[in-house]
Amino acid sequence: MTETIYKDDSFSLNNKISLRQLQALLFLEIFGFGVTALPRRVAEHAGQDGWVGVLLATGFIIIMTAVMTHVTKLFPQTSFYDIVGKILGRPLGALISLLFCLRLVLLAAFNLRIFAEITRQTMLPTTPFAVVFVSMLMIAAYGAAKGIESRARVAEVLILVVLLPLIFVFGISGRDIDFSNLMPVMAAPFESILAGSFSAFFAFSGIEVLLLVGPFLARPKHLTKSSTQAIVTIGIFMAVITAVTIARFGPANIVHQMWPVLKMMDTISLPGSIIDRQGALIMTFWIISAYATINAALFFSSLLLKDVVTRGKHSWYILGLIPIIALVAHWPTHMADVYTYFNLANRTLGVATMIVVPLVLFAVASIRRMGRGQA
Amino acid sequence: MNVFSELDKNIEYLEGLFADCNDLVKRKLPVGPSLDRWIYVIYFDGMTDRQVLEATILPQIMASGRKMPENFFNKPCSLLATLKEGGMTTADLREEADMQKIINVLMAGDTAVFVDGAEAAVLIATRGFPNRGVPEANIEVVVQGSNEAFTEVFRFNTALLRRRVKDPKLKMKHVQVGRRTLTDMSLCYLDDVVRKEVLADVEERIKNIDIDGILDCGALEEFIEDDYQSPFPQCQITERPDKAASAILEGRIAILVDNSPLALLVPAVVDSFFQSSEDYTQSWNITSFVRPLRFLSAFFALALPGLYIAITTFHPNMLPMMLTLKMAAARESIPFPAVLEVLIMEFAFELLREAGIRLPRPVGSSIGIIGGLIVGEAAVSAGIVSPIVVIIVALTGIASFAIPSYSLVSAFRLAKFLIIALSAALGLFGFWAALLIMIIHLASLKSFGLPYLFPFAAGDINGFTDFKDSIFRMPLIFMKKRPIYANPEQCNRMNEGKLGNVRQKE
Repeated sequence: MTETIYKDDSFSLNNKISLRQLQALLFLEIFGFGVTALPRRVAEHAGQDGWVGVLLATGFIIIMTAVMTHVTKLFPQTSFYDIVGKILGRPLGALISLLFCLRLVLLAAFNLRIFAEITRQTMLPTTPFAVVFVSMLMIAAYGAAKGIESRARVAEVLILVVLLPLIFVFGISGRDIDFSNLMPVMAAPFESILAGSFSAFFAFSGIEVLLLVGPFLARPKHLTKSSTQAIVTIGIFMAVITAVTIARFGPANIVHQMWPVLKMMDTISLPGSIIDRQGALIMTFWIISAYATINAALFFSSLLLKDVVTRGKHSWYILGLIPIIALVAHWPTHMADVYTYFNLANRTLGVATMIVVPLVLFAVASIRRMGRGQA
Repeated sequence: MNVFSELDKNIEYLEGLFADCNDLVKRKLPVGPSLDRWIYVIYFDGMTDRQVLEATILPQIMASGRKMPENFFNKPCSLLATLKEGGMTTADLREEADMQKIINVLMAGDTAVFVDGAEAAVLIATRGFPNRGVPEANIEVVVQGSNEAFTEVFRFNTALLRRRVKDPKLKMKHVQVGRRTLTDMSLCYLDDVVRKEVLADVEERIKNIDIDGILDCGALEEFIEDDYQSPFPQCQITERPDKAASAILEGRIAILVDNSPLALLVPAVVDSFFQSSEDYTQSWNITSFVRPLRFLSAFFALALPGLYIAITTFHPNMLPMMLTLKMAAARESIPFPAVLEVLIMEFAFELLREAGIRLPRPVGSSIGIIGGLIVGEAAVSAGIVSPIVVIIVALTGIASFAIPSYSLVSAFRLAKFLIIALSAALGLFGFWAALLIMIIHLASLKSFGLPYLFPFAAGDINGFTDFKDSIFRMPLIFMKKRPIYANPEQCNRMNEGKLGNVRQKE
């Protein structure tokens, strides 16, 4: 009933989000999960120049953002499956959609595992693993099942909850940081900075949803501009946090910290505070980030499945994906294994979905002069 | 079915229909110079204003009916016409031929006059029934501002609104719901300011209700709100006509229900439940101080017990050492886990609140003293609960009273237990999990197409201007635009002009 009464120009756009909401969604989806291990991973390669690597990676991601949003804008209101179908043909469309789906499922699973691991180490040492697993997955699934509109509004609220404490904590941290740890700048050889930036590149995992959001954008005209804004913001935040964290622990120490950003938040002493340890702030940040990433991955992977199968509601597929993600997340025995598998997945699937597929779509669509008029 | 031309057939039908209704007053009386023509007067006792009816209208009928010249009565319809066109000293009458409609208005308190030989009856508006006048507001009390409240009488309520908004564009669209109760309802809105699609939506939802009876606003709310499963109110209920009038000026729709001393305001977003009509009668800086306090108290009312459980049970090292020690010392001799302790106190508090509503007012204060002071004190000294829990639960209760909307507080009361349960099971993670579930739920709600979390989410659809009257209230001269509820063509509510002490400014 509601759909028929409320027109597109009214305040209620069913199943549509604004570009501002997309920015909030992107920020939450990418930033929190990406940044936790980032300083360690770039410092492994580039030492004190890790933050330069992050900036380099951001630059590269901006290019990929332009490529992805260009493709999305060529076919407004079209699902990814149909976009690929139009550019490369139906069978490849299904194949690539499933590839993206697999990538997102793995992303959700690794994220879930890492989340559960951190929760066990920092907050709930005695609670069974499965309980944390299942409850997080259930909440993410609940949020995903409510659809894109609700997800966008949740993101708008949560972004405040994440950003304010973060800015607060890192603003205060400036007092007891030894910035000489960052000197000398650009001393690392360029190859190692490049290797660091390749590592940092995958902190932006999840950026490929820009190819999938097409059908949900009410006015995609400035899609490229606003997603670039979001990416630049995320990039700057990541670079600053990386720099501050490296400065605080020193490049030699940081490689021994599993999650340096969390450690960092935990050890900053707040002046005159009634909170002795910032456990609450960290967990706020971390729970919400994990939620946002798992939720996004669940939502888009279920959507891809729905588009390929062409029947049912996306929430049915979410139900189906829950046990799969839980199983995959439970698979590795050690945390080290988790990161090994995660890196492997990044280097294969990640490269495919974040670089190869967007570039191929862009190139073929350009060569065949496809888009808008034809679509 | 139409009115019969034979008077006796009408009488027979009506008396058959209203058999055993002893509140019905009916009288057949002769008129005309030779008293050979008959009319039949029928009304419900207690629903009509007998003073008006018997002191002015009936004598008029009899007098004018008998003084008429002989030839005037040749045609039956002319008797009806005579009665209608000056036979009675009232402007509020009409002719009606449909029997069902006549019966409906009869039961609403009007008087029907049937005339021998005429295929129609005259309906005289004589509604008047016992009522308690315009009462004083006692749910949404304010210090500065009007103290009138809506009452059970439908007509008074519309008058209270009309008195505040004297604009011909203020429409009061009549709808009737309930097959048996025939409850009158009125959709009050400004024709040019309301969003047409919202109005159409509201009308359609009300029209779709097919039930034997609706007795109050609350029932109507449940039928028309977007998600009836949610504990969160998606329509705003108010007893204050000034609040309803201000809502109407913003482009919202006020639904008045007969016999209900409350108005339903739609659409409603979570923000509107934090606004009190006093916010606009006192200085903006005071309001901007009180509003954040209300949001904070909402957080307390919702989350404080859960947070306490999570921290004391799972993460005591988060607090400063001294505080942890103090709390541990207070809890030392308590035989229960923190959850149980909080639940006992919460249960006692909810019990107190429920009992406080039911009790007659004079006894009410004593239950506060017995329940709150004596039992609380005794529980602490008996070592059943720790004093900190008493503080927490009392603070939660006080905080819940600082929120102006009763229905929102009720929703918080329920949500509080979800937070307590998850916090007790999973500590801070559970606390956040419960909050996330709540945020997701709130974000998925809509009130007549408007996102419930507006303007905190989707604020951009109105250019963020709605933040001017949200967590803070800007001075009125800054709020030139109407809120999101209004039709975009009528979004301007104030023109630039000279304000305040103009001369001094020059």
